Amino acid sequence: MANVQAQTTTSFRERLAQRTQHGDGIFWAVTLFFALVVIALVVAIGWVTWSDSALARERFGLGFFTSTEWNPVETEVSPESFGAMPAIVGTLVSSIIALLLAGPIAIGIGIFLAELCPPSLRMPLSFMVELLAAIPSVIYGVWGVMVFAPFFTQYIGVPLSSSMRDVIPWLTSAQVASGRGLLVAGIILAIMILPTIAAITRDVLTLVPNTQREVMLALGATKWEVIWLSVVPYARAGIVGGVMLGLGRALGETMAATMLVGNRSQVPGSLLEPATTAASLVASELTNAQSLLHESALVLIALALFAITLLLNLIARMLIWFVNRGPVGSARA
Amino acid sequence: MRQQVIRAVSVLVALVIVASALAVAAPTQAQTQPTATPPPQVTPTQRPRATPTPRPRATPTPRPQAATPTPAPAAPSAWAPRQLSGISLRGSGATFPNPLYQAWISVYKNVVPGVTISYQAVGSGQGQTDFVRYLTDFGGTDSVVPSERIRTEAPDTLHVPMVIGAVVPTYNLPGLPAGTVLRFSADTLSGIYLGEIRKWNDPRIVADNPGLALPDLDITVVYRSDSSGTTSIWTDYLSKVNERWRTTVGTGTTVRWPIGIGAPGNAGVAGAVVRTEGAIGYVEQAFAIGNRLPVPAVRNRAGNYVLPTPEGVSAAAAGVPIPDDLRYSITNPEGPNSYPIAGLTWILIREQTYTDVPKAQALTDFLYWALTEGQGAAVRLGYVQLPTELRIRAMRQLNKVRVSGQQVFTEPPR
Repeated sequence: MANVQAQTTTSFRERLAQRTQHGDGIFWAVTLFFALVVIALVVAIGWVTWSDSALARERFGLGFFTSTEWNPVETEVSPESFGAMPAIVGTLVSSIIALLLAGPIAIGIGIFLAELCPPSLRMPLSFMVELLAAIPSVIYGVWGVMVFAPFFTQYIGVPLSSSMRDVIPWLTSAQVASGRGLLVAGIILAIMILPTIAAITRDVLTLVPNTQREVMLALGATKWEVIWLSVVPYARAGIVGGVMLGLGRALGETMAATMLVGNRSQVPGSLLEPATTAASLVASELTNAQSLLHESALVLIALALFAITLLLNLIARMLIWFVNRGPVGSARA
Repeated sequence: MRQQVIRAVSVLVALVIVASALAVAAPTQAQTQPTATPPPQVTPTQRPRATPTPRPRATPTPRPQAATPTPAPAAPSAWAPRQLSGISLRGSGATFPNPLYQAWISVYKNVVPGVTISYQAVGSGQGQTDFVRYLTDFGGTDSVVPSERIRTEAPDTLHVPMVIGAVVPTYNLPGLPAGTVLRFSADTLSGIYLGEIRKWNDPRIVADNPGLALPDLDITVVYRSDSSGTTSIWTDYLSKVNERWRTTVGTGTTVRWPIGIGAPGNAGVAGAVVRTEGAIGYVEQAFAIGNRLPVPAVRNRAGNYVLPTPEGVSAAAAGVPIPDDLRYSITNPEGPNSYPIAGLTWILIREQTYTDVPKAQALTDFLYWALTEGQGAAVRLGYVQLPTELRIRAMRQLNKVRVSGQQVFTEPPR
C-alpha cells in the first residue's frame, strides 16, 4: 500500500523513467529469443532428417554415401538398394558448373555497376539485376525447357557430342537429343545465380570507404589499379559471401533442376548425359515413395544435402577468415 | 530500418512456428504408424473441421433418417443419400482421379449440403500413408496397398475401385504421312524401354508397321521422373509382357530405368516428347486426348492392335478374373478388344475402425452415389467407367463397413 502511494506522489518525469527503464531489457530478451529460434530451427531440421532416416542409416551405413546404386524396386536379380553417389555427384557437378560460369561474370557486373558505370545507367541496370534475382526459379526452368535446351541441343550439344566422340569422353552422349543433362542444368543454374552474386558484389563494393580509392588515386594509380588493388581486396570477404550465397542457391535448386537435369539416378559418364540432383531426387520421389526404406533413403539424401550446405558454408567462413588475415585485416564489408 | 528488421523478424517467427509444428508432428505420426490395430478413439478422425452449417452434430443414433427429404435428381433405383448434417470427410491421395473427385465433391455438396468432403491430391503413396496413419477418412490410390502393409499397418483396409485410367505411349516422329497411326507390339515397347531398340527403323518396329517408311533416327526414351501411378501401370504392363523387364527392372511408382531421361508430370513428359524429335514417352490417356498427342495402337494379348477407346479400356477390366478384395491389375488382359495398358484407381476405406456412425454413413453414401450417379461425370471428364460386374462388386464393398459391429450401409435392391 505504501508503495503505491509513494509511486503516485513521484513526478511525471520519474514515472516515465520508471516505465521505460525496462524497455531495453525487454527488447534485448525479445531479439535474443528470435535469434535462438533460428538455432532451434536448424536443430529441428537436423533432428527430423536424422530420426526419419534411421531405417536407411541402419541398413546401409556409411556405404550409402559411396554407393552408386539407386533401385527402388526389388526384382529377382536386383535387390532394393539406395546410394547417394548419383545425387551427390549431380548436385556438386551442376553447382560447380554454375559457379564457374556465373562467378566471374557476376563479379564483373558488380564491379561495373559499383565503380565504372555512368550514373544515368546505374539505376536502371541495378534495378534490372535485382529484378532478375527475384524471378522464381520455375520461370528459369520453363525458359530453359522451352527456349534454351532446344537451342543448346541444336547448336552446341549435338555438334559437341559428335565432334568429341573419340576425343573427350565426358563431352559426348548418345542421349544428347533430348536436350536434358548436367551441362544444360548447370548453365541454367548459372543464369539463376548470376544476379544474386552480382547484386551482392555491387552492394559490397559501394560500401567500400572512399578513402580507399582516394589514397590510390593520390598515389597516381589508374582506374584498374584502384579497383583491383584497393577496392576489391577490401571487399573480398563480402564478395566471397555473395558467391557462397549463389552456390547455396544452386545446390538447393529444385524446380529448374528437375525440369532440365534429366532425372536419371545414375552417376553420369559425361556432362551431356542426364543425371539427378539431391534436391530434385527428393522432390520427385518422396510423395509416392515405394516403401518405408525408399522414403527413409530420400530423407537421408536430404540430410546429405543439408550436410554439404553446412560444410560449404563452413569452408567459406574459413576462407574469409584466412583472407582477412592479410594486410587489410579487419576489413568488413 | 528498425521497422524493416522487426518486420523481417516477425515473418521469420511465423516460419519457425510452422516449422517447429511440422517437426513435432513428424515423430507423432511415426509413433502411430506401427500399431497393427489402431485404438478405437483416434483423434484425427474424431476431429470434425468447421463446417458451414452451424447446427450441432447429429448424435450417433443408430440411423438418423432424413428430416426433410430433398427431391433427389432421378436416381436409377430411387435411392437417395441420407441427409446428414455437420459432417466433414477428409481424403488424400492419387492425383490421377483428382479432377473427377473434385467434380464429384462439388456436385455432391448440392445433393447433401450437410456433408463437406475434401480431397487433396498428394500422390498415391502419400495417400496410403495418410490413410494408414489415420490422418484421413479415406485414401485415394492408383496402386494397391501392398499386402505386407495391410497386414502390419491397416488390416481392415477395403479397396473400392472407382474408375479406370489407361496409359498411352506417345511419340514425336517427323515425316510420317498425316493420319498415320503407329502400331506397337508389346515386344517393341519393352525393347525400346529396355534400350535394346535404339533406332526408329529397327526391324521390330518396321515389322509392326508394314509399309511405313521409318527414319533412321535415334529413339529418345522419356519417363516420369516423379513417382506416380502412371509409371506403376506402365511398368506393370512391361513386367507382364517381358521377362527381362520383370527380372531386372520390375514394377513400381519409380524404377531404375535402363535408358532415357525423366521429366516431371504428364505435362513434363509430353513437353519433352513434343520438343525432341524421335522421342517416345507415356502419359495418361485423358491427358493425351486433351492435348491431341499422337496415340499409337498397341497389340493386345489376343494379337490385335487396339486404340485406347473407352470400350477397349473397359473391356480390359472385364478381361481379368476379379479377386474378392478387388486388388488386382488389369494390364495385359484377355479379350480380343481389350486395350492392354490400363489400371484401376481405388478409394481406401476402413472396414471396422470408423468410430463415428454418421461419418461412416456419409462416406459410404458418397461412394455409392459416385459409383452410380457419379459415373456420368466420369465419362464426361475422359475417364473410363468400370464394367458392370466390377461396379456391382465395388458397391458390395460398402456393405462391409461396420461401426462397433453395426452395419452402416445397406445396398438398395436393384
